[in-house]
Amino acid sequence: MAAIQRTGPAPQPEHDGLLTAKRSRLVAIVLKFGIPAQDAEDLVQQALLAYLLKADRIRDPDAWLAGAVRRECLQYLRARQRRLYDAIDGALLEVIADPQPPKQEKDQMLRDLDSAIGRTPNRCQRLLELRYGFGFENREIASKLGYQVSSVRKVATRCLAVLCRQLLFTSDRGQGARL
Amino acid sequence: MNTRQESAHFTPDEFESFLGEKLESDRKREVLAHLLAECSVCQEIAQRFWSTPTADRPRSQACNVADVERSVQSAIDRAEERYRRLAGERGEAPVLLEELLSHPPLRRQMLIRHRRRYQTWALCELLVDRAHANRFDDPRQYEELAETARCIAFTLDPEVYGAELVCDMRGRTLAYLANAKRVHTSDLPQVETLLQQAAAELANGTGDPLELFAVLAFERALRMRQRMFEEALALCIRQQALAERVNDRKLIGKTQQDTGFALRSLGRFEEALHAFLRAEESLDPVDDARSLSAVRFNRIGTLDDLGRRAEALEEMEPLRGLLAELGDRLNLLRLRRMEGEFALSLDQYELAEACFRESRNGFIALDIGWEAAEVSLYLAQVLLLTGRIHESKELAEQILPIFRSASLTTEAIAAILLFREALLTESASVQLIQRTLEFLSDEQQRKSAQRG
Repeated sequence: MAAIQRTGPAPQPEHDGLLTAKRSRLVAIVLKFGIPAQDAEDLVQQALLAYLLKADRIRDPDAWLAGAVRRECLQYLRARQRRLYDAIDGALLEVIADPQPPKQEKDQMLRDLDSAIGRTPNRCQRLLELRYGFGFENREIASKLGYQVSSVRKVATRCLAVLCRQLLFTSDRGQGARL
Repeated sequence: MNTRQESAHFTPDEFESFLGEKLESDRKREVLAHLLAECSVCQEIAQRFWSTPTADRPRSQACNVADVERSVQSAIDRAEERYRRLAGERGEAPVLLEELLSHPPLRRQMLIRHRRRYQTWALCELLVDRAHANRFDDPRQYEELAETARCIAFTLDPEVYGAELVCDMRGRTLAYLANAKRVHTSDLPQVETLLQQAAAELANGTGDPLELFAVLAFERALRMRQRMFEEALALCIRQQALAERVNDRKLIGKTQQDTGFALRSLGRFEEALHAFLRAEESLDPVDDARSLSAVRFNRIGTLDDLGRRAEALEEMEPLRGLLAELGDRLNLLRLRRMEGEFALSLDQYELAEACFRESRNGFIALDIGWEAAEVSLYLAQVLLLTGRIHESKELAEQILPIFRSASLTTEAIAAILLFREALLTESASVQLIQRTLEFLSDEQQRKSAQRG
């Protein structure tokens, strides 16, 4: 049985300045992931504490710690990205559900949305049309498109990501002057 | 009125408020309208909030190096400070452990739930290690200690250790408890459930590959016991990736060893041989000498499976040296027995008899009844093949007491009785001995898989 076994006594930070020696590598990882300095502190601290608590099981501290900080950075970025998707998704659903906005404005937004959806892959088009055109919940989308209920959330997130990318990274098709 | 024509471009602060659901409804709609219109000015602002680790992150997100350096240093200082506060609990853990173990298991759990001093990471970790150390000698103790560790893990304070680390420890204790139950009981559905719970806890943890590795290792052991060798092999591949990610040569070597076991069980002997060779390359000759000897043992067995007996015999001497260096008397005896089996198959009866007698006496001295009994059967085979009927009858009289001490199943005892009767009535054949040996070997494999 290849269980994880202790490899030695826990490190004593006050003796070896072990973590400080690793600082430049950690800084490089944070910079590579583009984590804002104000958020980097918490992420790195969590990874370091995990390292200190588990150090006697870890054979290659550099590899383990670099991996732990990378995972923290990735989780942070995923959470941020998820926040962006949720905000755009929530705002779109509000506009569609709100009976109050002036009709012309809403029509224009819906046309723009249709256009953006039209530039996503076919599979996403069908899913996004059901969500924003008919207000379907994930369970209904799963039933309509033949997905498992357990997997439709993941597919919906991917499609929302494609749509958000469309909205953030495509040029303004020469309509900037209207703004 | 068109929102895009009327409204101003949004600012970074406004977009931050948009993401945080703090923007008023009308302005939120305007922000959305700008995005839907693919307004290049607003896109540039929104892109700063696009958070992928890939190269498409805009330059505008570039961080100030000095600021990041300060943050990382501050993180180091804070982590060391937190660790210093926790270091005291490491010192206390051995004392608390002995104190806790002086109580019966149920009372331990009550004490853990009601006394905060037992609710520490260090004590939990120590219990897991103590539990696992008992896996071969005292499976019942293994299970009891793992259960106690689980109890502590579920009392750890997320405020003190961080929620993700607490999930890691919960996952770890559940995984070890699952393995303890696999070793100690036959309740495999419960083992499956515990492993699933462990994986679920780890999914909310730090994502530490070492924690996940342990769960996969225990699941692999379960699949081997269930004789689901393909599934076990698939788990080995996942374990390998995790071990490589943390660059742990010992885990890489052990995973290759387990891969070899699975492949050998599948009858894929050539691939098994390669896996054992890779395991040898990864293991450290000094630090991992015991694992290395196990790998070499299996390599010799695999060479034999492939019919490459001459090579297998050549490998025996270096392994004998290593085992002698380690003082591993038990495996030296096993190697001697294997040598006897090879000699028997090559009709070298004199050598075979010497090997079997030596290893049988050794197993009896170490009180390992099962293996002593098995070797007795091989010895009986030599005696029959050399026409020494009288001696084989004497051996038959000695076999039953040896097997009785080996805690056999009813089926195994029945097989031995039948065999003994055949020896005494001079109706035993080599084929009968081989069938009995195969049956006992299967029984032993089942028991061994149960232990892991």
